[in-house]
Amino acid sequence: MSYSRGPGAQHWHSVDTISHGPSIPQNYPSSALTVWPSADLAIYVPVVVRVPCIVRKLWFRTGDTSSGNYDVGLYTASGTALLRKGSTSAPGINTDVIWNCTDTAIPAGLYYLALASAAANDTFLGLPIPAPTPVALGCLVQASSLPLPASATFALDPTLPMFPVVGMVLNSVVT
Amino acid sequence: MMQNGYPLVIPPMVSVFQKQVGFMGEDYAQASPSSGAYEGTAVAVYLPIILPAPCAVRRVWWVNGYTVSGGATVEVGVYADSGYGPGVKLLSGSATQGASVELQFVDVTDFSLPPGLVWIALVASTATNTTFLRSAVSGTALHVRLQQSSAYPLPSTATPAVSTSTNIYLFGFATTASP
Repeated sequence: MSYSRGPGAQHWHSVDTISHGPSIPQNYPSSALTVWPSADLAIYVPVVVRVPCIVRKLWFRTGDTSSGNYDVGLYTASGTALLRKGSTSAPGINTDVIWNCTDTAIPAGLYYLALASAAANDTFLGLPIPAPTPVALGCLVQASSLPLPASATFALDPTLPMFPVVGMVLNSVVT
Repeated sequence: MMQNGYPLVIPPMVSVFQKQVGFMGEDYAQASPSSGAYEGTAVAVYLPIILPAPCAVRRVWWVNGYTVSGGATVEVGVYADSGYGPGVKLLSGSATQGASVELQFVDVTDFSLPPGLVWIALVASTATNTTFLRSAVSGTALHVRLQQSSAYPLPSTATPAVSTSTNIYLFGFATTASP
């Protein structure tokens, strides 16, 4: 007889800031209201990875306005960048943005998914949670961070009014 | 603490609003946390947290609402479980309520918590002009919170009573020292 690992030791195919984020009664994220707070701001959102994974893609979704460059990345709990796409021209509106990054093996632990935008008016899929709740949920920020830095300098911003949805895909199904 | 051979970690900001450790979500909460008056002078509120792994408590925190002119002293603590209720106080930190609509931290002596059920506690020395960010559960909070009157400062051993309120406050502890 053989035994497989139980479901508790696995992840869904996406580890993201919704499935592994806060328990806030927003039901579903909205893209219409989550306006990026300020130009070149990076927002870091904590996620807990329960088992070793191979990160194959990073993703987020644009909202109704998309005009500025963006960057998406993955950081260790201490702020070291594991993946950074680099400053990239604006994608279309209401679009799933999927970066086929270098396959990167990571151990279980605490990580921060990062998103930065050059345009304060751009909107993204996220949770429009009033400030300062996003900070109480573990969101951190860094100003003037487009492109994302190799080493993050995490900061608290009690005025942060949104919780961006960012994720990492653990297999190669999504294209 | 391992899970099928892999280490477990918990989120940096621990509260009942955090998945994996807390219970608040679409099934319980009526709305996102918003500013609301504290429910009573020296009333302690106890909320359960389930830790899947050991962790170090380095700070306690709460979120001030719009009105802080009462100058309340706010205390947040962590209690060991005692038969599915708060028992002995393990740690706490307190400070005068600071700026409005702001996350307020208090450093505590680092304290290691084992995995399992613990209770976080919040109390204010006065409820007059004292607000916090809070949500609520529908109908009854009998199943998710306990409370205690005349519990300022937080007692060394809790004597919890059945909840008479549905308020669920946004507070807890941090496993990180900064930021």
